[in-house]
Order: sequence, then structure tokens, then C-alpha cells
Amino acid sequence: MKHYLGELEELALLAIASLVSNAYGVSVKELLEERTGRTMTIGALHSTITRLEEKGYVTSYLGEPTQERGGRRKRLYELTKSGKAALHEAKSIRDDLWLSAKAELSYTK
Amino acid sequence: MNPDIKPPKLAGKIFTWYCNRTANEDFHGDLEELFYKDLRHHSIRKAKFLYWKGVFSFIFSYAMRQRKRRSAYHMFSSTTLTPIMFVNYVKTASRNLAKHKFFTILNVFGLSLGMSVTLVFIAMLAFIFTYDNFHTGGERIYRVTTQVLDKDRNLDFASAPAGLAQKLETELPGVEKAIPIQKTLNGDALYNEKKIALNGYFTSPDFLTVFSFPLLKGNAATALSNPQSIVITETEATKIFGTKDPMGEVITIEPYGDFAVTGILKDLPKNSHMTFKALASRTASMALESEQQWKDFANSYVYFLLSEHTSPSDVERYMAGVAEEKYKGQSFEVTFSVQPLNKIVPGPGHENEIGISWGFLAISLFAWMPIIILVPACTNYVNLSISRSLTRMKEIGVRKVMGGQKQQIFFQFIFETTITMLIALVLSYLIFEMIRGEFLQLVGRSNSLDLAPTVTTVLCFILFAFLVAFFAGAVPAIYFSKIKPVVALKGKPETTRRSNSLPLRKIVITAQFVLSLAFIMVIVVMLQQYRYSVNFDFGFEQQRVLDVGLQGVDHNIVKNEFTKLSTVERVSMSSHLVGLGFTPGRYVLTADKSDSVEIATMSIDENFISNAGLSIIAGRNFSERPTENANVVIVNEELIKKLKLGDALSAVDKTILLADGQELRIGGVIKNFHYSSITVPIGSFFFEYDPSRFQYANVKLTPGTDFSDIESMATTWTKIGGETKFNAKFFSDELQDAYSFYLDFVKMFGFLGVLAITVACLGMLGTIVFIIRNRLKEVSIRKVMGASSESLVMLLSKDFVIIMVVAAVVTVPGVFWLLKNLLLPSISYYIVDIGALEIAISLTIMVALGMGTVLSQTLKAANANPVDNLRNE
Repeated sequence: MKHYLGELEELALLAIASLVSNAYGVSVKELLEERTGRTMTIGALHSTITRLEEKGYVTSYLGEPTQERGGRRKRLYELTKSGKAALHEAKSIRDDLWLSAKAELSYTK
Repeated sequence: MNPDIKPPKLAGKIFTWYCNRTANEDFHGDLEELFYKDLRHHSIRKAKFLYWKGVFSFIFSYAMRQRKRRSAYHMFSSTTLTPIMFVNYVKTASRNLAKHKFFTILNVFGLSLGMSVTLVFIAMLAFIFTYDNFHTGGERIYRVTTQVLDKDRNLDFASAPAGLAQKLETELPGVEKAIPIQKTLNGDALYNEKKIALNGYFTSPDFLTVFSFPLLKGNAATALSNPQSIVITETEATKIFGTKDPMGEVITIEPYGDFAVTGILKDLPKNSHMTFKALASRTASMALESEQQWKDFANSYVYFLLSEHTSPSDVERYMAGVAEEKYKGQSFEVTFSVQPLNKIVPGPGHENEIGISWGFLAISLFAWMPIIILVPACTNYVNLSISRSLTRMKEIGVRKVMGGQKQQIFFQFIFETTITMLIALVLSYLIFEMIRGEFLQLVGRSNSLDLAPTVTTVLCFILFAFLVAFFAGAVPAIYFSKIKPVVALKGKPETTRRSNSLPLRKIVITAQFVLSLAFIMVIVVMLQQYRYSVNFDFGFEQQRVLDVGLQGVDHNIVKNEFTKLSTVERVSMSSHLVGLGFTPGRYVLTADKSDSVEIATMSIDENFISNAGLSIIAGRNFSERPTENANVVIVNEELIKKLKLGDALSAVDKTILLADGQELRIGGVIKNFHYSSITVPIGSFFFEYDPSRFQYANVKLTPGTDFSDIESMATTWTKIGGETKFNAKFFSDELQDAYSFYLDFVKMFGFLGVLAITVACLGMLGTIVFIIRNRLKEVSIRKVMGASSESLVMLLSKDFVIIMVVAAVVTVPGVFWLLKNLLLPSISYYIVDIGALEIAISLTIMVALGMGTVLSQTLKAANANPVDNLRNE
């Protein structure tokens, strides 16, 4: 089934990719907040990640417990192959559109 | 990081509570990590607030919802309803039903009894809702109803002034046709010296085009155009004309004159709220009179056909103006409303209905009938199913461990109930077929109700069966679906639950017995009341009196001919029969002449008083010379008291004044007797001598006569009676007929009572069988240890004896009071005394049935060989 990638979903996916092996709730939230400048609740972020999981773009595994989490384990996320494909597709669509809109988007004009 | 500062405890608790068994470690960890990070930048207060916020963002998040959903299901479980599972349910259900035949039969039987009465009600309801659905364009037909509000009453009439029809049609363009109906066409249709009673409406020619009553012969558009034309139904036409073609024939209906038959109607369907045998064109005088009818419109009705784009509220607004104009300055207020044709039956109920009415109140009274039987039957089912949980525990445990979800277990049990219910439905349909004819007769509605099943009603039956199955099945289904697998696999229901549910079960059974006993008591007392009424001392002679209808034959001839017969002792004449409730009244002015009172009257001849064995306390009987009897009356004691005429002796020869000015002289005073039925008290009454009103010859027979002597009278009748048939009945038979409504009542209650008792006994039987099965080992051990059979029977029956005692204690005074103060007085003025005998009979019946049920099981258990029950563990 073909899934569409929402804007926040795309950003979250990219954030998970860029965090490599340390992508979990708090780190993704912080990265996104830092880069986009907008704030989101932790519940909203997890909802987005849950949707990504259901679409099959990310998988997860439980990590090691840390002290600052009250001894609780993290759930770490990583991209799946179809997740990568979805990102590539999204990018190529954008690139194509950029290319055709290039002249119009030029600041010099 | 300061380890002393902790995230808010309550928020954490709420979070874990909300997550329940859902995996939440990572979420909770994220929350906590964020909290400590927030502490670096924000105050403690702010960080705590953000923590709370985080908790709630999770609680309402999609992430949490999905996780909860996923965690609810076992890893092996599948919630899609596959055909395989369906087959499995059918298999388990049918195996279970077959395995526990006793309980299955009990359940099916109980439910089908409850359903059968319900089916009658559903069929009735379904038919009532088809009323007047056969008119084409019926949704545009309306009726005008009239609300009259005066000082103390607010009456809602179905009738309306005829003049309104004329005004509506001519003055309001939105009204296509307005139809006045005059319900006064009542009388004997005379044709070739044959008299047939006919009733119907005077109406306008448009009646036949607006309403869809098809004509077999004649033209609907023109049939009633000419004055003095009449249209009659097929059945009546055959009665009057036989095989002859009725078209164009002339019949006479007094006082309206001759009518030419211009059409034959197909017989009316039973679901028409209008009931008529004939329709006649309005006479010229009716149109003229319609002006006066604005005040008196008891027999006139107005229907109208609205054009497509007019709203009925326009008509109402117009009629409000008419009402204001017509009733200005009156002491009462009148409003006209419109009522759509399809809302008439079933409807809110009006005074002065044109034909058949089915008020919502009447329908809801009938609704009690199925409720009283069906609800106990369903509680029995619930009761038995839950008490049998023991046998199903292991199955449910295994299902749950293998991944069976709550709703699947729930569905399985609903499914099982549905199967039971469908079997019960088939059985109840058979019962329904048997009782529906009887039911119609008992409610006396066989002309206006048709319970023959149609596709709709059968669909309703099935739908209702599913509905009942769902509700009856839901309770055990929820109970089973909630059972924890571990408890279930141990094979033991939670012990606390058992001791808790037992009082509830006892209450249910007690309630059923209360109901049963109430039915029994009502039936017994009603039978007693019937016997009491029939054997009541009316104060006059009832034996050996044969009443012969005169049917227009001259009473002198009848008297002469019958007196000649050797078996006849004396013949008297009367206008009607005494003691049967028929009392034509006349108005007499009171002593101070300020007011008038209604007084029951009867016309008799000089022989009547001795024939009926009445005693004259003062004055004398009517004279044998009719001329001397003019304006003479014989009054009863009550009348003297009422009119304050002194004692009996002084009242003789005083005069009483009728409201219409006629003066009557009191010739004699008779002892009070029950001239009307015993449903009403003795009131003021007088006998008069008016041969023109004689309708019956009361023939007193000599002692020892039998039916062969009546034959001889019949032969005499053929000589004098012309074409009429000899119509005679013994007075005692007439009396029994007059009170046979008690028997109808008993029949109706008897049927419901039998159902209620059966259902109660079934419930009791199920419970006792279950209890005995659970206690078999205990009973056996007791027996081995030396307990006697009697003591074991006592042990097992004790609870049920208590139930019956409680039921008796609750019911007897309650029903006694109800009967004495409400039910019987509403039926009759003179009521039978409810004594110890009636109560004893009722109790005996209940105890016999109840104890029979209990003892049949407990005796078996107590006498069983203990070895058989103790052999296996």
C-alpha cells in the first residue's frame, strides 16, 4: 500500500536518520525543536513516530536503562529500507519541482 | 542533577494507571528525562507543569491509543470475524445445547411462552400501524379536530362543524376537496318488506374520489352526485338484494326517505378507521342545517385533501380566523386543528371518534401483557445460564488462554442465546397461531384487528427475537467474558460471587411467585364474582321464565295464543328485560322543581309484577283495562326517598312531574329490586304501562316443563309470527350471558396466569436442579453418615419453602387490597366477599405447583444411591 509522507513525518524521519544510533523520543524532539524552532509535545511526537512505525518506515528496539530516566530503557528507532526509499522519493519529487520552478524562485528576479 | 527533586508523583501515577498493562517504559522514561532537562532551564514549578503537560499529551495521543489497542490483544488472537470461528460457534453452541438437554428444553420452553404473548402484541402493533395506509395520496388527506375549552373541561373532539367543509373548499385555494361527513345514516333499510339494519355516512360526492374505497359497480365520480342516492357494501347488498343486481333498486330508510342504489362498494378493509356499510348523498336539508351545526357537531366530521404545495399550518391559521368569527362572545373557546390521516390510528385519542380508535394509552395497556410474561422468562434464562457457569468454565479458560478476546467470548454466548431464541421463536410461533383467534375474540376487536402474519410481521418477529436474544444473552455473556483465565481453568467460579448471586436469584424467583399467586388469586376471585353475580338475589323471580321476542307481532295475539298452551302459567309483557343492565331513562323534576334527575323506566303489563314475583308494598298493580293505566306509574322505594315523597303509603296517588311537562300519578309502590345489572347500585325507578313499547313476552311456565314444551310454543309462533323466527331464551340463560364477561376476563387472565405460573415453575425447576447437582456429594455423604431421606428433602427444600412463604405474605394482602378497592369496584357495585376460602384455594394451587416442582427433584436426590455419586472423584 502506498503511504504518503506528511511534513512532520518527513522531518522526524530525517531526524531519526541523522541521530544514527541515538534516535529516541527525547533526542528526536530536541533536534527537531532546535532545527525548526517550533515546539511540540512529547505525545504529539510519539504519535508521529507511531504512524511512521505503522507505515513500516522505522523499526524500534529497547536500549539500555539510564539513570536520568529513572532506570527506564529507551526505545531506539532506526530507518527501514522502505523508510529510506520514502525519503528518497520525497526528495526527488522536491528536486524535480525545484528544478522546474527554479527560474521563478530566483531572488535576483 | 539534584536527586531530591522528583517529578510530580500524582502525574506519574495517573500515567501508569492510564497505561494499565500497556508497555509504557519508553514513554515514561522520555517524560522523566525531559523533566530533568527542563529543570536546567526552568523553575521547579515550571518543570513540574511541563511534566503534567507531557503526561496529558500522552494520554490523548495517537501513540498511546494505538499501543493500548495493540496490547489488548493476545499475540495469537485475531479479531476479524472469520467463517471458521463462526462454524466453531455453531458447533460449540449446538453441542452444548444437545449435551444439556434438560436445561435447553427448559430455556426454549420458557422463552417460547414469553415470546408467544409478545408475538400477539407485535402482530397487533404491526396491524395498527397499517391503519389507513391504502388511500392513494393519503399523506395529503387531513381531518379537522375541534378543541373545546370551557370553564372546567378541555375536550378534544374528532368531529367538526360541517359548515367548515364548505368554507374550506370555497375560501381556501390550498384545499382541493373538503368532505363533510354526517354519521347519522342509521336505521333499517326497507326493501320488499325486508328490514336490514344499516349504518353509514351522509357525505359529498367527492368522498369516493378522495378516499380509496373501490367501487365494484358504479362510477366513483358520479355515484353520489344525485340527491337520494346510496352506495352500499358488497356484504350488505347481498343481505338486502340476494343475488339480484342491486344497481338502480330503491331502498327506504326512515326518516330519510327513498334512496336509489348507485354503486356497490368493495367490503372495507379491517384497517380502515372509518367503518360504514353505506354512503348516501347529503340531503338538501343538511346543507341548510349546516349553519346551526357550528354549535352542535357531535355527528359531523370534516376531512380535506390538501394540494401539493400547501402546508397544513396554513389551514390551521385560516380556521383560527373562522373560529374567532363564529364563536365570538361565547363562554367557551374553540380551536380547530388538522390531523393527518395516517396519524389518526394509532393516535392520541379523541372524544367522539368516527369509527375505530386505538389510543396510545390502550396500546400501552396491552404492552403490559407481554412484559409480565417475557421479562420473567428472560430472567430465568439469565439465571440458569449463569448458574450453569461451572460446566462452561474450563472451555472459557482454554479459549482465553488460546487468545480468545473478551468480545469474542461475549459474541459466542450471544450467539448461543440467539440459537436458543430462534428455536424458541419457532415454538412460540406455533403457540401464536393457536391463540391469536381466541385473543381477538377476548378483546372483542375481531372486526378491527387482523393478526394474520404478513411478511412485515414475520420480519418483526425475527427482529424482535434477535433483540431479546441480545438482551437476555448479554448478562451471561458479560459474566463469562469477564472471567479471568486462571480462575476459569481452576474450574471454580469465584466463591464470593456465588454467595452474592444467590439472594438475587431468590428475589427473582420470589417475584415470579408473587406474580403467579396474584394471577391465581385474581382468577379465583373473578370466578367467585361470576358465580356471585349469576346467583345474585335480584329481588325477582328468575326461574321458569322464558322470554320471547315479539318482533313486531301484536302483543295481544301473542298473549292469547300462548296462554292457551297447557304448560304456560301466565304471560306478561315488558319493554325490555330486567337485570341485564339496559335502563332507558327519563327525566323527572325534583321536589323543589329546580332540577331534574334521571330515572330508569320500564314498560310492563298487569301480569308482569306477579310473574316476576315482585311485592307491592303500597297501592295497587296496573289495571287489566289499559285505559285506566294511562299516566299511572308504579315506583320503587328508592324513588320515593329520592323525591322526598314521604313513606310508601302516603306516596300513593301523589303526582310526579316529568321534565317534559308530563304529569304521572303514582299508582303503587314496589319493594326495591335490581332492575338494572348488579354492576350499578339500585336507583330510582318506575314501571309504566305503554303497550307500544312492549318488546318481549315473559312466559311463566308451569313447574316440570322441559324443552319439548318449548317446541309447542315454537309451533304456535309459526301461526302468529308470520315470517319471523321464534326467538326465545330462558331468563336464567340470558343472565349468565350478561355476566359472561367475567368468564372472558377469567379466560384472558387464566391464560396469562398459566404462562406466568409455568415460567415461575420452570425457573424454580432450573434452580433446584442446579443446586442439587452442586450438592450431590454433600447429600450423599450425609446419607452415608445416616441422614434420613426426609431430613435430606427438608434440607434441600427449605430455601424454596421460605421463598413461597415470603411470596404468600407479600402477595395475599397486596392483591386482596387491590381486588377489594380497585379491581372489583371498577367492574361491579355489588362485589363478592373475598374470604379465607378464596385465599386458601389460591395458596393451595400455588403451593401444589411450587412444591410439586421442588419435591420432584429433592425426593429423587434424597433417595438416590449415595454410592453412585461418591464413586468418582
